[in-house]
Amino acid sequence: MITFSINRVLEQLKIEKFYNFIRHEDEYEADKIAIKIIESAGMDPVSGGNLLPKLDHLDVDSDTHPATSKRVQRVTEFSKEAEPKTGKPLSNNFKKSIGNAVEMIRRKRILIKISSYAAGTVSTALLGLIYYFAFSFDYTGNAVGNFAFEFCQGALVRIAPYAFLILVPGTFYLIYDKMYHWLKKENQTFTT
Amino acid sequence: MLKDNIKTFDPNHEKIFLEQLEAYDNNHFYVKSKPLEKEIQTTLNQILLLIKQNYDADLDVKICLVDNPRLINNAYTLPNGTILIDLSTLSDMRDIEELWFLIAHECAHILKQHSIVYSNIEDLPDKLTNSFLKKFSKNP
Repeated sequence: MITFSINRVLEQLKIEKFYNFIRHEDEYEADKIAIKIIESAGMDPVSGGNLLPKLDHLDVDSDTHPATSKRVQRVTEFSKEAEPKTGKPLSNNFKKSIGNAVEMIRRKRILIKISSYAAGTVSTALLGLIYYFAFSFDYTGNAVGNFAFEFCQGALVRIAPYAFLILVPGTFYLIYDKMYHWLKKENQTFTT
Repeated sequence: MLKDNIKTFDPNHEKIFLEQLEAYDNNHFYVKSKPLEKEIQTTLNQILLLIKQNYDADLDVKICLVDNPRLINNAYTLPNGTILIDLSTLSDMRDIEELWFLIAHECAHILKQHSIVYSNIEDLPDKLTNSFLKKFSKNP
């Protein structure tokens, strides 16, 4: 579980480092070209620019961040009209297929969670059963046999809590990881 | 000429690059949907045609839809000409111009070879990321 958490933190840090590559002037230039393309297609770039605050790589969550407002300002700078407005709506088929794709992914994520929790529960129950049965037997053999049995039983008492600590989260992680990659790779071939 | 520069990437690099990106961000779900594919491909074709008319550049662009809850509302371009669009960006769209803007913006990055330029920056503080990009790209 600790490795699992550390991996997540490291992944997040790597993503942040990946985003450090984004340069303001390149985004600025790309916006400029995009506006020109949209205008040459006879469409309204201001409606397209509504997307910019959401797209801003430096700030995707906050509407009030200076980087976001600066980018909105850019659109109004480049395009002919100042006020953002609504353009031609997306087709219903398109919206519906987005909805379906979102729903499909949501279900897969739920499936992964449920299966990993189930695996965790099953492994806990199995360990509990082993622990229980180990104490329900009483060996009645010779002195050496008795000593060996008690030795093993004693060892089990000492090992079981650590096994709990390692095996349960371990199983949880393994199932989560395997399921995740299996479900992820299912649709990996899509490229337009 | 521009196409040639992008083609300097070995065909296997695309796969390796995507695998490396996966290693960077292990939270992607790839999305497959016929209507989405059709609509996005139509928009992309029109944009590529306009780029050819306006900038005299023949781009080789591929779009890949992904879902990643930690990269909400985003799209980015790889040096090999692949555009990754996050599904939440599409679900937040209200009109066709926004889709145009998004694809045109990312195509502009490919047109201006921004990703390739990034990979050639020597003085980046992050040595790890720098070496990673250097490994999978060549000078334009």
